[in-house]
Amino acid sequence: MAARFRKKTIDFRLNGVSYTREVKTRQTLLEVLRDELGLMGTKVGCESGDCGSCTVLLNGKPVNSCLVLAVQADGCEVITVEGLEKNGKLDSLQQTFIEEGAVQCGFCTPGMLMSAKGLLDENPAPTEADVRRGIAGNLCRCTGYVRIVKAIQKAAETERGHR
Amino acid sequence: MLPDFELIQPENLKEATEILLELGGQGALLAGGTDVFISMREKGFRPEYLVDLGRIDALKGIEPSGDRRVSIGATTTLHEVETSRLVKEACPVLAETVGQIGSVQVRNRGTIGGNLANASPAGDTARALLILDAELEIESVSGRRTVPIESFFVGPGQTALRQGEILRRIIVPALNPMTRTVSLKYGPRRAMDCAVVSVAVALTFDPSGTCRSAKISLGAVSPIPMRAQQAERLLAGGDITPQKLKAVAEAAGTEVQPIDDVRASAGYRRHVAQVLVKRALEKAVDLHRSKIIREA
Amino acid sequence: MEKIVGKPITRVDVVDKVRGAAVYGADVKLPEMLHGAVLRSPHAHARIVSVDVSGAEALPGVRAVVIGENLPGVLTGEAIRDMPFIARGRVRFVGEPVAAVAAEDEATALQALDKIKVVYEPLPSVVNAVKAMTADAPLIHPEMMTYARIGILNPVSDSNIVTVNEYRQGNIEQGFQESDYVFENEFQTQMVQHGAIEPHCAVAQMDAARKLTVWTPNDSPHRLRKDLLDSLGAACSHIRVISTFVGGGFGGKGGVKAEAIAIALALKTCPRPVKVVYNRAEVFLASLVKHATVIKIKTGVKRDGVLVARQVEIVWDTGAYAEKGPVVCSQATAAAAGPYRIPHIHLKGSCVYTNRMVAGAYRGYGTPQLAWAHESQMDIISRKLGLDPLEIRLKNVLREGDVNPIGNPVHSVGVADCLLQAARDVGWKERKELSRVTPEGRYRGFGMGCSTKNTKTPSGSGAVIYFHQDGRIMIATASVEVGQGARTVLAQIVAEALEVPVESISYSAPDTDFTPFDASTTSSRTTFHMGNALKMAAEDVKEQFVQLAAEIFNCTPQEIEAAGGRVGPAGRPGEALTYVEALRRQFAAGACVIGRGFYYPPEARGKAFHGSPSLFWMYGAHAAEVEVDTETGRVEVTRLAAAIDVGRAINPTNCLQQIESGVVHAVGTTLLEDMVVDENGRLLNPNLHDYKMPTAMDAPEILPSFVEAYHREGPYGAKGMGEVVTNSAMAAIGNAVEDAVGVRLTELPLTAEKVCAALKEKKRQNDAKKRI
Repeated sequence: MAARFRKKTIDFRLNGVSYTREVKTRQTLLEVLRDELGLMGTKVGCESGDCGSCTVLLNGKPVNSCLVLAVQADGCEVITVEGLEKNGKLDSLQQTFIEEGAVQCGFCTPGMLMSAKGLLDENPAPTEADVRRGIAGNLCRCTGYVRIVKAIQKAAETERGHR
Repeated sequence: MLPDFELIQPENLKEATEILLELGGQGALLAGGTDVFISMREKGFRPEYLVDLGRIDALKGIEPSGDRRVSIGATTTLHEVETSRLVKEACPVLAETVGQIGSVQVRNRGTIGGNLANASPAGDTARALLILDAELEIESVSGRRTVPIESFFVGPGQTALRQGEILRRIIVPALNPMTRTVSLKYGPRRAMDCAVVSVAVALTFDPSGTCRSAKISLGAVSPIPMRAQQAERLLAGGDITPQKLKAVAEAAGTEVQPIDDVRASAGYRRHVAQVLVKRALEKAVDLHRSKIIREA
Repeated sequence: MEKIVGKPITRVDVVDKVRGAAVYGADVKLPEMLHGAVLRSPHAHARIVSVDVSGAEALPGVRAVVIGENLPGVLTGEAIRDMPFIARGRVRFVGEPVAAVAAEDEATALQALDKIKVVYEPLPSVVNAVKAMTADAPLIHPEMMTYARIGILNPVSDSNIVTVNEYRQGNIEQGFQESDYVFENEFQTQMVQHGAIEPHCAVAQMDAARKLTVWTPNDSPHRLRKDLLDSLGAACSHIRVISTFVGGGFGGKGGVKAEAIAIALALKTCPRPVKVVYNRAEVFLASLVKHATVIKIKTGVKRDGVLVARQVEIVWDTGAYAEKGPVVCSQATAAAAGPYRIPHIHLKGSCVYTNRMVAGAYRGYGTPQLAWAHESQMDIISRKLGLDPLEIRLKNVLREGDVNPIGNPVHSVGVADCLLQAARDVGWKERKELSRVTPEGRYRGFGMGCSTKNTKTPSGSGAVIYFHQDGRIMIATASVEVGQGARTVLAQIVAEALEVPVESISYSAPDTDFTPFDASTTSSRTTFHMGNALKMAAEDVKEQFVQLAAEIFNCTPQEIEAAGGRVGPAGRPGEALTYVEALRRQFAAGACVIGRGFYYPPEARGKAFHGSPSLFWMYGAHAAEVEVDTETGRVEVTRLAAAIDVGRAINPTNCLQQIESGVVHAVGTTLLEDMVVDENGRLLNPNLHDYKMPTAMDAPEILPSFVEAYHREGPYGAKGMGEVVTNSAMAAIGNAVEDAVGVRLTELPLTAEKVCAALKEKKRQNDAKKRI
């Protein structure tokens, strides 16, 4: 029997922690993250899937959380920028973004990091063209993208070195 | 913030088609959401109900379908289509074209069915399927019917789907080994753009090197994604010379019906359509020649 | 030799930013906070006949509804107070706020907007600035002459011209007489968005004592506070502005934007705070845009390429409200002749109201538009005279000690080196050796340009340094981190002056209650002005430690040496104490040393606001390589060299980061971006799918470098740089297109369609000539 509802209790894993929450159908994943779960790292930029500042990993894949209903995250694994560091240790990408000067105003940074993370998980040895394609959905006005691309390539090298 | 709506999550196609019929015009389908949420936020679209197709197995997955065909579930994400080994082997132009849509994030949510049902005149999936002779399986409470892709689009944003019908699977025949395909998308940026003009061509050669048949599809230059059939006829059964390509491109230019909009003028679109058709054909010919040389 | 200044240290705020922990305006959450939403005008120009808010007020969960009439007499505007927080009596642009609602949640606020009934009587509108200057144009501000305004404005009564600013030197007619050639051209630039990824927002709260606090990603908290005091008068007992991190400014996050709405609502919802966050469409319509311009430029030259006379006439489309427009007009028009020696000039700028989006400060403050004109024309001139574009510029650009076109002697002038560097990096000398046509059949071309920009003078910056007894050094300034790296650079200056590690420095939020007056984080002035103020404050701290050491060592201050972060008797370094040790020695019960500094250019004291010659001029040059697809007209910038004169690179990486940014920003402005407004004043592309900003796949190869022409009054020789980083790139690209395919486009953006049409026209003309 098809379920019909305006609100639903969903279960999902967020940054490695299990959550159970009642959400309204009209709420996007982005809204629930920011307005109810206190995770302000994921940003609102355009709500039309054009700027990428709301990018999170949904079951390991980068998506615009402004275009995902919270109910669609039921049973899924969500990772936000806050979930990148492990036990206070920054992820390689966070490290290289710092070292390579890939951050200026920082507003696009969380989304960029998540797109980059999704890219490297799928393709550990991306070319520069692969990297640019992987972040083509993340707009940045401050950096000109140069150092972001370098940082991602450097993180890829670091990760490959660890294996 | 999205407007309020009731979400319905059918478990299978039978439930989905019944509910859709029952809701009449009040229900809209939800697959990836990359088009429908934008309509709701920017175009004042306020459906009372959204029918979420995400739980229906029959709409998922890519699998072979007898006699060298690939069957793609309507809610397969664009990313899945782009990276599918089956698709890349059978009809690489579909994988390539789908990879030209939006961004990684959009392709991870957007679905092939959603892209088709959105019926944008600039639709990318459409133009690839048009040169592949794809067929669309459509499900309703009355049963299943199959519609060839050429009949699927009836107007800008309008498809042949009737009230209560759901696009179920897209069936794509594998390419003939003697067919070369090229897909070109033209817009101001290299990513994220709705095409200003787009073209896909499939040229089938016979062993002697003449072009046996051609399919040329164009997007963003007519009310619906279209085939340039007059242009195609000029190519069939003959040698491909630069003069012929020029004539073919001009013929395609007469068949398109572009409009002026914020992205480009009609005149410019017509001009670029001709340029792209010529280039796509030249590239297809090149691909054929290289393949012959490699195999020699 | 400096130890920290000049080093490319990692930015001090990036760890928080990569962790998602930096707090921007929309991240501010307060208890009992309400959500604000705005109803906006669908008309470009209309009388408001009536506004019925009863339906909205009656909706459960709505806590306040505000219309223009609720704020009588409230008008804001830095140059001329012409703009109500919410429209009163009349709307002047599509998107102007007509009513605002505060509700318990966003959904209720939006629902309430639907219930507000507004009756409009449309008025004739004018959406073209040149037309708006004609005698029969509809008057957008009939009451213009009654508005309070600053001294540099020269409004023309009974017109839409809010100011005319003119500069003359020499005798322009004589100059043209003496010229061998006179060139007259007209150029146009389009309306574009700043494109900061963070939308505008604000949280405002009025407490029971009528103290108003505003949290906002605003680039200038003290200036905002002043604007609010001027507009609100006695409505609040006290106003406090706190600036959060800013997710990109580029000039667009100044003035009164979302703050106006949040405050208007907070006045009624007292004591509950109200948050207003613009959606992207609102950012397009109702924040700020760049002035579109029509520029006529007439230049007289000698046949050897020496510039003799230049006359520039600019029409600045300032939109429905003036905002900073008149100051842009006044300041930029002064730079309209470009970075050249020209004895005879006449520069005239008219700032004009239209029923379009409000234009204001935008990276470059009018100089990008001017550079499009003067650098495109320089190429036209060089082509006609048969001179190399680099040579003609080197022949004419200002050098140290020259007098600039408006009669000011200039110091710290690196433009010639910028040209040489940019030319070198793009391979200017070798360009003719490359094939004209690429293997893919595209046409290759090279072009260059240079530019200059001034800084608003005078302006002041105050700073306080708290040196705590645990060694933590708190910089308290109102300089705002908008992504330019201000915190880092200012920390480096303090660390250098005090000889302490950068890691010991922390920052207060810019907060008008606690951080001293700073004019603004604009005009590329922060490194110079606040840097100097902090140097003064650091010297003050050091001096106090010297005094302390004199007490400790029982000698005179003259016998104390302060070096390497320690103080002690001169000649006895073994006895020196660290600053912390000195504090603990004298103040066992706890202490803090407070250093202060206030920098205001000495020669400008006693002079009028905007009344002094620019304290420094910034310079830059760009050189571009493009490939043009002659069949589609599509222009691709393959390589763009950018060299900017920064005075002194306090942090070389910071400088390069801004220069890289400017290149991609300029590619957007030149080839992709255009806010398309129809004849009814409606913006046709208020979103990021139809307004095209460059993605990572659209960036050229960037070849950045900087030049250091030390400024004697800047901290360690530094001046400013952020605003010239796009200026000359536009014309460099346009000039490269002409080099590639022989067509000269004068109107931005250079879309493929325009290039294609120009190529067709050129072919048509050539064919016609052949037939003759």
